[in-house]
Amino acid sequence: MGTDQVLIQRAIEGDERALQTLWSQHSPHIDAVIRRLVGDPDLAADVAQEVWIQIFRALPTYRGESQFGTWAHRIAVNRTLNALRRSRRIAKSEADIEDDTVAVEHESERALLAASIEEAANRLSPGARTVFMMHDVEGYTHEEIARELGITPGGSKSQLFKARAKLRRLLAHVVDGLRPDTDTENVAPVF
Amino acid sequence: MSHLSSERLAELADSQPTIAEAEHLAACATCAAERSAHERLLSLAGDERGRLAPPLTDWSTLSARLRDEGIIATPGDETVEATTAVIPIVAPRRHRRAWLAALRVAAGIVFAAGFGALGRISAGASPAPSGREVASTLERVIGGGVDGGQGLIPSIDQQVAEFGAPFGSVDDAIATLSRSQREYDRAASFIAAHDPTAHSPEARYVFRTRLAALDEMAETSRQALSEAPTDPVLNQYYLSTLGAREVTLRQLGSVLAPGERLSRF
Repeated sequence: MGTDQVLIQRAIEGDERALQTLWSQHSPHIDAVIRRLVGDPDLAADVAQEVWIQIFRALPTYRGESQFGTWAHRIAVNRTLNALRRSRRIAKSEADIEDDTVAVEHESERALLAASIEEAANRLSPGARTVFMMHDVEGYTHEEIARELGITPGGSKSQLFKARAKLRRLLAHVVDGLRPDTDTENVAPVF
Repeated sequence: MSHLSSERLAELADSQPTIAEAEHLAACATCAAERSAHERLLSLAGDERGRLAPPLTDWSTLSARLRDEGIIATPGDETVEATTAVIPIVAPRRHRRAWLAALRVAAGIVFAAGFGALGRISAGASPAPSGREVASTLERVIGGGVDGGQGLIPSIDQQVAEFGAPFGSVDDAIATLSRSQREYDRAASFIAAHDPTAHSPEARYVFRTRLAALDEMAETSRQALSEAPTDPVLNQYYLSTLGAREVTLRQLGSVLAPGERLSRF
């Protein structure tokens, strides 16, 4: 039996220390996913609390067929999308992406360059940001995105490519400043 | 062939061009550069997945909700039952809980002493505390009873003499232990948040050293658990070490220089 299973079993039994350890281990990633998908920090904080409650409620159904982090990540994405649907962000996305992409002029975007992908993505419509984050950041396929969002795979692709085109303009200084095979970041040692 | 559209170039970041497109890309420096830019954007997006961020939640708020929902077991609560029998139940549940609760305090004591040792290592001192230092640590944690050959844990008579009547029941004692545990966790979080080490120029090196030590402790506990997966003492040490490791990682993340990032945790 793996140690993670021991930890999870104790969490299922209601051991607060085990629950806290799971939260402590995984919240940096889970909360980051929620923050990326939601964008708005206040809403993200509300969603995160509900996501963690759901993860712990669902803990007895975890069978260890995948890593706990992967399993929890799926729940986080699913619950976050549900929360976004409730706030009608997703419902507006199809119309938003069309208006958004067409309306912004190339030159005016250059005057509003974003400092990071997160900042640039916040300038996309909620739907476009969701598709971009799910595909290019979280690694979902278009088929999976279509299932989660209730759209077609073709619709997912269309939104993604428009989102990428806009992000490429917003992040021109970042993308054009990079050279292939050049790592500009200092990476902390791997522990 | 005319230039490729921006959306088609975005699509080609992770897909193959048609033959005609490939010929155009080979001849058109502008479109080729744009395709490369989209590939770099895609790479940047992929890097986002590993990026850590400050938590959106805090344990005190979350634990209150979990307690309300019955997900965190309270002393004497028999409603939260395991649905998968991964750990063999070797003792009646109530007794096992009492045993585990007592172990939490014991682990807290030893862990406090352990952190003292880690602090000494970080400061360049000998990791082995003297007997007096151990006694002092224990005294601070459990409130006395370590001198004069009286044993590490005060007897019931000593407790009655010092604190009054003993607990009315095992549940009372467990409830007190649980409260103490929560206080211990709260205090540990507070200390971590106000750790003066974080403001020193050497903070990152101190945290890395601490992290390396905690990794070794976790690995040792993990190996022991592979042979005795239900051992409550080993489990407690392992859980405590993981908790301390995460706190240290967050502290390390807070003192990294601009542009640096934790690649994994």
